Amino acid sequence: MRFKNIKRLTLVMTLVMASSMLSVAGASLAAGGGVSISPGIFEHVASRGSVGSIKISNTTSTSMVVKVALRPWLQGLSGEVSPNRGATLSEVGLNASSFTLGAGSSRTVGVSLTGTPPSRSQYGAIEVVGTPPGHAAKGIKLAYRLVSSLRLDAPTNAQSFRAQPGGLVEQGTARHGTLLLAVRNTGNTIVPIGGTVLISGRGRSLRANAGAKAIVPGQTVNVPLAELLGSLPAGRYTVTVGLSQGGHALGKVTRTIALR
Amino acid sequence: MIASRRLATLALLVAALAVLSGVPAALAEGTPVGGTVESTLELSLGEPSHFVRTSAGHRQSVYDATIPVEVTATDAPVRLSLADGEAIFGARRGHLVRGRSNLAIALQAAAGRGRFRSLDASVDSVLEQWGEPVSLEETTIRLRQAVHGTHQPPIGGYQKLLLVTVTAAGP
Repeated sequence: MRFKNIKRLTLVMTLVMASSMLSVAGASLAAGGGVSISPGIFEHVASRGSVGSIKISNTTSTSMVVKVALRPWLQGLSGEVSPNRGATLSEVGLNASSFTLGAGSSRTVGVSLTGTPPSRSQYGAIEVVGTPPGHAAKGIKLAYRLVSSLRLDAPTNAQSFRAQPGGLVEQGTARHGTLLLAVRNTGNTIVPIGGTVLISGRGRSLRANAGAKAIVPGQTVNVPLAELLGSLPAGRYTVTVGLSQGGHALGKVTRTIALR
Repeated sequence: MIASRRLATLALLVAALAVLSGVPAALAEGTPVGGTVESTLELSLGEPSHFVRTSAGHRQSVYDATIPVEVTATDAPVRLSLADGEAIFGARRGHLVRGRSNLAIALQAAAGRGRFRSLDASVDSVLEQWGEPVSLEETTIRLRQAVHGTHQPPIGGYQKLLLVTVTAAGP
């Protein structure tokens, strides 16, 4: 009996030790350090001259070559963005774009507007790539790439809230689908564009709130209007959308669609 | 019997210590606790594994490798993707290369339980996405390289610089 309890005690102690060892093992990746950028969103009013700075830190145990670039966004119809690696933003500059960052050190990089953007605002990505030394010993070599958002907003009195609606898009079917409206942001802010939706026809109607999407000025994104989920039978419907952006009404648009 | 009681007491003591260590002293005293967190984006990478052949056939063999990743981001949504660090367009984008030649099939990547995505796409393939801020969020990127035939290993001199990418907050 006593031997059995000693075995249980040993088991309890082993579990306690194992769990503490696991928690240490879980922290090992962070303990090895990494690369960070602060702030995660760089947002200022677009005025000529210095607009602020970003801080890049290397907390790993090796120095690395860091390259910083300001790039325009590529935005897909779904709204997802990625930096256009083949281009850089005009009229925005950095006081350092390539440097070596030692182990455990940080560097501040200044951002400035060299001119007034034609649309009074500028949106894009701050791309930081940190490449450690060494070769691809295992076939692959890894580099750290951090992408944060650069938002240089137009001054309040120069902000423009405008959108140009396109056609309706039915994704899926009336039973399991989503109704979307192609919307081009013709204004100069990144404030999400959404609105209210009324779908009517065949003696039925459906009201919904469109999911707001952040659309880069000049880009077109399919804004989701309503999940269909079988609430409307297949047939022809009139869709009225009241678009809005940050509390600003952008007007109403009416389209017809044959739901499958 | 005494040993049983001692064991129960020890277990209770361990449980009590565990609970007490999770309760901030200030909360116990009723003092409000708050603060602000600096907007930041951080990426930590572990050592990638070697490519290991996971299936072999007459027409095609498949090799897999993994990369441990840890992400901290205060601004959501947060997206993890992988990009070619050497070629941003053309036939070599997303393909392991050796000198002037490259493997015919593009490298693929996935994270967590997500499906594999080819790395030769013109836009970065999102492997994992978090809708809320994350702190020391761990995940594993899985790499997959398929090669025609069984006669040659894909990593015999073939290589690629990969950019493990974390994007915060969208546009």
